[in-house]
Amino acid sequence: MKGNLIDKLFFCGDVWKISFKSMWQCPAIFLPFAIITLCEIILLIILLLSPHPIMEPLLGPPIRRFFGEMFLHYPYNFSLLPTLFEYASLPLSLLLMPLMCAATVGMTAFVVNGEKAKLKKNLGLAVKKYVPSLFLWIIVLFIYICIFMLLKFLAVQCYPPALAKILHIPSWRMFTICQYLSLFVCLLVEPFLAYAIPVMILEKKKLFSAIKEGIIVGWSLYLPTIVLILVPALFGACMVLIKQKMLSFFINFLPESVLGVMAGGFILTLFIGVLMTTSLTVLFLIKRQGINE
Amino acid sequence: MNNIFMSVKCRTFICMIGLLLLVGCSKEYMAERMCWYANKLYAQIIKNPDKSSEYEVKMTIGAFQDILRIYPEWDNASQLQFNIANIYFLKKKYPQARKEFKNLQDKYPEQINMCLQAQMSIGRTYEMEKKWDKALVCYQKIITDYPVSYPTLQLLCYIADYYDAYKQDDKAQEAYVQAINHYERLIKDYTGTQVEATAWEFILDIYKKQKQYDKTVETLQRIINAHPESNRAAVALYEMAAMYLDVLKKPEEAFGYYKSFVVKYPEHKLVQSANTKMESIAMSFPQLGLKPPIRKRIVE
Repeated sequence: MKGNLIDKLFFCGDVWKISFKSMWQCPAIFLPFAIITLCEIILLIILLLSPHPIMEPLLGPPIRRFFGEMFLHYPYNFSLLPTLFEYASLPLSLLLMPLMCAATVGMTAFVVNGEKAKLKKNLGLAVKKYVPSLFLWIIVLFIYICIFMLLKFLAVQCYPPALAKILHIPSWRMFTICQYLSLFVCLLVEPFLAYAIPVMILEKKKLFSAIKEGIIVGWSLYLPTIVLILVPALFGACMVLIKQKMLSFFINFLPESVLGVMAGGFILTLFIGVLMTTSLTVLFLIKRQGINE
Repeated sequence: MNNIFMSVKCRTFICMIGLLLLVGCSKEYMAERMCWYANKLYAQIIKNPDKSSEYEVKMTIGAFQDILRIYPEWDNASQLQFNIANIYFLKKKYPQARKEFKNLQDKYPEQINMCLQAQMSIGRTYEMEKKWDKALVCYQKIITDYPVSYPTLQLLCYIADYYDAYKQDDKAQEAYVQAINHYERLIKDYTGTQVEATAWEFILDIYKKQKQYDKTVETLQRIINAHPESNRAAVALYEMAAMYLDVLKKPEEAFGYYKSFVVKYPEHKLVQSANTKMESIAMSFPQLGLKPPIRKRIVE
């Protein structure tokens, strides 16, 4: 059993080797996620211009209404920028991510099989499967929100003060623990949802068949999938920790440092997204080729 | 051919973004940005004026002057001018400080608050140089030009307190009388406004400071008569009772005023405290035969 565990961990190393080789041989694999990053940069620039005459007529009234006049002046506009970006990028991510993810999966499959990956062709294939991909993303989002709400409910409603005294954990801290726990639970659930898109794109299956097949594949490749998701996610977690310190950068250094942190976040998200998608696609292809063999 | 096309597209895109950023910048935003950096330097000087070097002072003043030169029409320009003058004040360069404060008054006469603050500060510079007569002239100018402003109300007391501190009793008394007359005029001319309410408070402060408790009580009674339904009247009645008990040592009168308070303002938040005081007086002075009213207890 122990031998199997170590084998599986080493196997992840092989998967990453193939993924990095694919990315090196065909840098065009970065293009789909790079398009998302470019859109995010343009969105950031638009939000950055909110205090200026060019964007103020459009963005000024809602900012004034929901956040206050002071956020249309230097340097407070920078303190609001991450929050504004979070709200504004949500529809962008929701609309573009399924498309670009699917395109990356397609391109990775071409490169791994020794063929040339073309963005246009794979985008075309991804557009054909756009609606089911979008529904899949909404289902995944819904599942994660349910996990979060359930643990929040347990922390708030089902944690009696008597238990808090026994455990010496106040309810506000239990709430924070439950927030982190919900991320952990989402991580444990993700392998079952991670292969639906490769099945949909590469095996051209319909949505619910792809979800069913994805769960089966995810169960059979559970441990390596967790590792392939966890390691890049840890880099993402570091970025989240840095973003939490953004206010101190703002106060102690320059307000513009917020831009630097956000730009760093975009670049890291680009690499994490590409790495995760390619490595999971490679693992899926190895699994399928193994069955075929 | 494709590569050239792509690079032209890229260059056009980058130029558009750059143009967007440049054209988009408003003057006000640029002024705010420069001001933020200048204020960071200014904060260091305020934190420790004695330890800040001449170079730092020069840099900070230069930063403010740059903003004033580039954006003279900016809304907060007067504040920057005030900051420049304040830096000289903190560094004890009083003639230069006065020059800058006067500059502010000349350049921004419509900014009444800033001009008032500048005039106050000019007076302060004379005080720091131990030139009380010149300071007094400045303060009297404020009292004449801005008779209703809060700084004026404070200044009247301040002048009297100054004389009091230096044991110039005659001048102090004259100043207190001038102050009270001014407050009385405001009470008469601005009845029902915040000005009247503030003036009453200043009068009470003066009488309490001078330990003229009979006049304090008289003033409190005047407040009650002028606005019997107001919260201030209720508090004034409570204060009268407290004064009779704690200062004038007349528990029977105090008891009477507390009782009157409870009857007149039964819903007031101080009723419980008044009842407690009455019970305490009745217990401490049984010979007076006072009976506190029965409290309504809510049984849960």
